[in-house]
Amino acid sequence: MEIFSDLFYGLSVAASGPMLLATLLGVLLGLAIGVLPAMGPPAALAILLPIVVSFPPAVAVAGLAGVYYGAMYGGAVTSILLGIPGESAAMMTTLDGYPMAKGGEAGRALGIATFASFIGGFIAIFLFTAIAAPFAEFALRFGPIEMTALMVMTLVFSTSLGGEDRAKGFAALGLGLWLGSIGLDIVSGSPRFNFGTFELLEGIEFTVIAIGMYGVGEVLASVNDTAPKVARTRYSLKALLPRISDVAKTWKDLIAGSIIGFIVGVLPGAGATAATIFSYSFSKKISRHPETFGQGAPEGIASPEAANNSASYAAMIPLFTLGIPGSGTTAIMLGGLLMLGLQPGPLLFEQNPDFVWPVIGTFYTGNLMLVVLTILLTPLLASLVFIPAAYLFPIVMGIVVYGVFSVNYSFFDLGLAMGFGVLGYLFRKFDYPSVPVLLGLVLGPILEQNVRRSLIMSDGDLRIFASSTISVLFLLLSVCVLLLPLMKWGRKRLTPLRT
Amino acid sequence: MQLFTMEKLFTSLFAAFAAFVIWQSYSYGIFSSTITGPGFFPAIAGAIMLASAGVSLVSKKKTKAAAVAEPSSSDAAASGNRVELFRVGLLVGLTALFIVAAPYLGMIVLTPFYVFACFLSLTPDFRLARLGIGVLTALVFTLLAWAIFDKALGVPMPHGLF
Repeated sequence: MEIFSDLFYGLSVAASGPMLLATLLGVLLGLAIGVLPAMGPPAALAILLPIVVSFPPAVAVAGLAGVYYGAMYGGAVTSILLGIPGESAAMMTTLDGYPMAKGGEAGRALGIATFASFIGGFIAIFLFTAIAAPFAEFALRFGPIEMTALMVMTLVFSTSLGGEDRAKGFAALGLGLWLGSIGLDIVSGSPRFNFGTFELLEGIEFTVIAIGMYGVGEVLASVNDTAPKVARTRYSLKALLPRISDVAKTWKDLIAGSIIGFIVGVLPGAGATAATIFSYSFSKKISRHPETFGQGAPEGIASPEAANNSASYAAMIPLFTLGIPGSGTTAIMLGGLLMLGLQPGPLLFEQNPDFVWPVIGTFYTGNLMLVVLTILLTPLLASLVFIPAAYLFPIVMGIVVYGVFSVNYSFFDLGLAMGFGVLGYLFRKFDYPSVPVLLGLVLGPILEQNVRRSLIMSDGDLRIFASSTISVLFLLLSVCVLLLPLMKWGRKRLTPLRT
Repeated sequence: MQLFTMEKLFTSLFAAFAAFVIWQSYSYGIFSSTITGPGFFPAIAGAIMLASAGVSLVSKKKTKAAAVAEPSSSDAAASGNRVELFRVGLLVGLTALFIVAAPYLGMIVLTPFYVFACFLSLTPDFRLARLGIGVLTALVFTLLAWAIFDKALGVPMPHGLF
């Protein structure tokens, strides 16, 4: 019952003027970012951080979350109209959305995507409301030993499952962990890796690295891709409203997609893209006409879109309840929460209910806004696709310059951000993932604190990590994921011998 | 230079840097009897970097870009790479110039020139209409940046000589 009263309080605050405005602006910006070719949600969130930190925490996070889930839907517009996924999570929507658009049913495809996003979002928010607080209560039992194991598992999962080349992923993770250790040592107070400079004594600001690697890195990596795109599809506004026949045809896929999206979204590292792939495959498997998938099947849009939105909300559960981000975007949100003076984790629900519940309330209002705005603004959003990136990139660079400078009023930080921008560019060129850098950077100091606290408790005995069942479970899972390629390799070698 | 070779060079530098991190961590102190020293955690980070970069160096897996570019290895692809590197260098150079000049000339005064220069470096198209769009973008952005950062958020920006 307490959940209902908390939710009611949250909804009443979320319906207040500043919160509604922040959610509206966030969703609008997110929709535009999802469509624009110039940048993805992590880059947009990183650039916005210095601006939103001057607002009250709930308002700031309502806006940031709006950008996040708005962008996740916006990616579907380009997938359907141009056959180019605006975000990687919209990749599966392209398979059936684009053939429908080419067949003159772009409006219908967009309508199905909108409705599926709404249902996926609604189911995920409902589940979020129901389980987040009990989950946080359970996590209160976690001491430094369990937290160490949980962090290790998150980092191993995110790095192993998030990219194609695991070696490069772990190299990036190591870099992130090292970057997080720059500055004064938490136990002895002695400086580390400041290279004799005063500016690095307190470490490198998270925003500087996030803006550099994502904002600047993305611009530098796309300097040769600045030509406007061409669309060949038409649709009417009326067609964007979902048809009853489509809803009846896709209801099973909507529910399955939402649940799969939620489960996969909660897991660190798996992310919305994996959720859409799983749900698409599942829908194809349960369909009576699997041969229509890939040729414009409405189920092929409904299922991944529901999973995509559901996973976006679900990813915020570990962020809020454990202080653990599972993706680059949620890592930036965690950085934002820390900048706002909040410590996400089990105590957040207990100590900051006036922050948590209004933010959850904005998920409900934001999801509703997303549907209305999408139906009203899709023609305008679609036209954004044609803005050449050459017009957008100088603006992005300008925002980067002002955004980074406003963090510490320092040109040294701006120079560092440009350095990280070049590093982000090289990472993209040579297929090094950037997400592990951010995860290592944001989780590294917390991990170090917990590891060293545990070792102080045990007088340096490493066996302390085997003293808790939860810790052993998390560490075993991490080892399994680490050994996965070895197991695959062994199976590959054994199969020809058996045959 | 081939993209694959450049990648190997980058990974080698990465590995060398990881070795430096481990060496430096060692000098900070890793373990003192039963208590972990300041270098304990950075040493683990360095070891992860070094081991992963080592695996990556011996791996024969090519980057997506290299896999696509190499079969053709055409002049067009090479010239595309040169243009890209030139533009990246130009954008980085422009920002470096901005960082050096802003404390003396003022951030707001320099912004329209910076944004317009970025615009030109990305689309070196000197038709009047295009230049007009560039100038307009630069001026509108400067006005918005001044209103948001200087006036609304109160960021103490260097005003320089002006």
